[in-house]
Amino acid sequence: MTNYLAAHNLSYYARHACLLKKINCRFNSGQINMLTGNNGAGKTTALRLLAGFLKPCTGSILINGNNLAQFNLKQLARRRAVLPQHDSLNTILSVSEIVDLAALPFNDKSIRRPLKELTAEIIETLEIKHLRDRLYHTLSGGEKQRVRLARVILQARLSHQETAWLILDEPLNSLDWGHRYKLLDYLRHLATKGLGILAVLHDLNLVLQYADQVCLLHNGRIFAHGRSYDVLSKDNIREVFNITTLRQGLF
Amino acid sequence: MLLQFPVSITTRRRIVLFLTLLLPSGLLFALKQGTVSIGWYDLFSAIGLINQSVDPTIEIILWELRLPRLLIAIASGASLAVAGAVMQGIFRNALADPALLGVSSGGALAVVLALVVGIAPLSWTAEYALLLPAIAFLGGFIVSLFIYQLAQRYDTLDNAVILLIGIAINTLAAAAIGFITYVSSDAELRGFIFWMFGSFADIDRMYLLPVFALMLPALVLLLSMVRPLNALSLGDEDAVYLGFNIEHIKKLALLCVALCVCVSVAVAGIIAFVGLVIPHLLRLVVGGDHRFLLPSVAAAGALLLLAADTFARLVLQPSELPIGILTAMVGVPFFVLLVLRRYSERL
Repeated sequence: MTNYLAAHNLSYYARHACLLKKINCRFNSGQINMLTGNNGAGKTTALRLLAGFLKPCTGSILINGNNLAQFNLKQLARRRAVLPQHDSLNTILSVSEIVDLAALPFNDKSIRRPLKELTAEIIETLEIKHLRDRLYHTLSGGEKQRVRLARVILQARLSHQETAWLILDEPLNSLDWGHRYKLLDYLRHLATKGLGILAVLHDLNLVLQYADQVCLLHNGRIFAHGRSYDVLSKDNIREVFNITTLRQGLF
Repeated sequence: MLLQFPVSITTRRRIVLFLTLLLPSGLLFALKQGTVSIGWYDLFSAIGLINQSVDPTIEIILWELRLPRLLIAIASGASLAVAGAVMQGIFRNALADPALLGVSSGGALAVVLALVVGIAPLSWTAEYALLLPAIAFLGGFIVSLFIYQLAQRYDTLDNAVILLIGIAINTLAAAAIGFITYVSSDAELRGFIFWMFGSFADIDRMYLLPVFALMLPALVLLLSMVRPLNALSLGDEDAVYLGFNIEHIKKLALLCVALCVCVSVAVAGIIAFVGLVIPHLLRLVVGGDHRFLLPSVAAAGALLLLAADTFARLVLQPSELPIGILTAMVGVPFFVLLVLRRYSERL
């Protein structure tokens, strides 16, 4: 049976403003799911709700058939790993210390062996092996982003891989083109291994290229949801992004 | 000398071990020092390492006066330093010091009020051994709770807001304490001022009870918060995604910080600088990983107050220098120099 992450009638209000209204969607594991939309559409709020950071005002979230609300934070940390949009680290930690924090939700003994192997694989793939002993705050923006990604991917992979979810809010921030493609290829590889992947992305070309399922948000509602070529139609893009003329060569 | 990063885990373990082992040696050395100097032979005889009778006066000086005083200096130093490191960890701000957030002032104001109203005398007696620390804790905890509740009303524990409120509370408490000292008698005023500057001068065995009953359990609990504090260094949201209930952790940490700091305030007055500077210095030496930071901060804080108290006893013999003045005078320039040096190396 395919594992999934689903929102049912999800609404969220903050300070009397409706940020999300009646969201119904389902994301399957084993494929790359992407959330996109214009600025302020509610992408980060939707992601935080699906990740269990915010509590919905109405509706529910199901993770592999179970209500998200029934899990405590420790249990959730073993079922999904999340990359927030912004980097908030403000202390003196080395790159390897930050990556190792991925092991915090787990019992130290049970993950000792996979931790070593997976860490080696991930830091190799994300090309941060040579940065291991560097202090995080001395890195460039793109290097920092790769370190954050390594920690989150490691957390997801230390979880039970067939049921775990990797939820990423703008993972391509600060990455150069080469690293963007390498990351997306790696996410594709992880998805084929059964990991559930949901990412917020702004680059519609990359969404079209890599996403199996796309959810297009607009003004706190789902504007379209489905296969990427169906969702990212010229009409939908014109309406959501308020672009009157699409330039030749886009897509 | 500061170590150059990256510092290996083995080196960091050695630093923690070194600081911890320095403590018993420092304690032995400090026990010898004072108006009445005690020789190594008498000291080892009194401890029982040498089978030899000791002058009863020396035994009284050691067991009734110096040892309780030094043990309390060690416990206060460790508690203040760890409380500072934990506060900086939970508020993710290097300036988040219990004294800066108003916790110490809240405790001090409660004690001053209790003394003026006559609930407790300034010179302790056995029946008041737990009363003043409890009153100080109440004052400090009310401040902590007030800051926390205020921040909660706005959905978040925003660092800048909390620090600004802390500064406001400090100013208010300082004004209230200032007013009380202004209208108090000369004798009371001298007692207040000496206590406010921080001193372990009047401490004897009676003071061990509040320290061991209230301060040490809170200190142990703070030292056990390594994992959530490491998660919090990534940010509140990341810590939640790593499985930590940050609101619960912050409340518990504030309670323990208030206990640690306010018992110290009740016993020895406000000793500023330790909670701010020791964690900052040790972060430059062992890094921000709380597995190494908290134990090294505890040992360094204890060593600092042990050394400062010994110096304070010796420098103006037979009178004493308030320890708070000493720690500020010696520590602040040293701290500024180290920070400037470290940051100029990084730029």
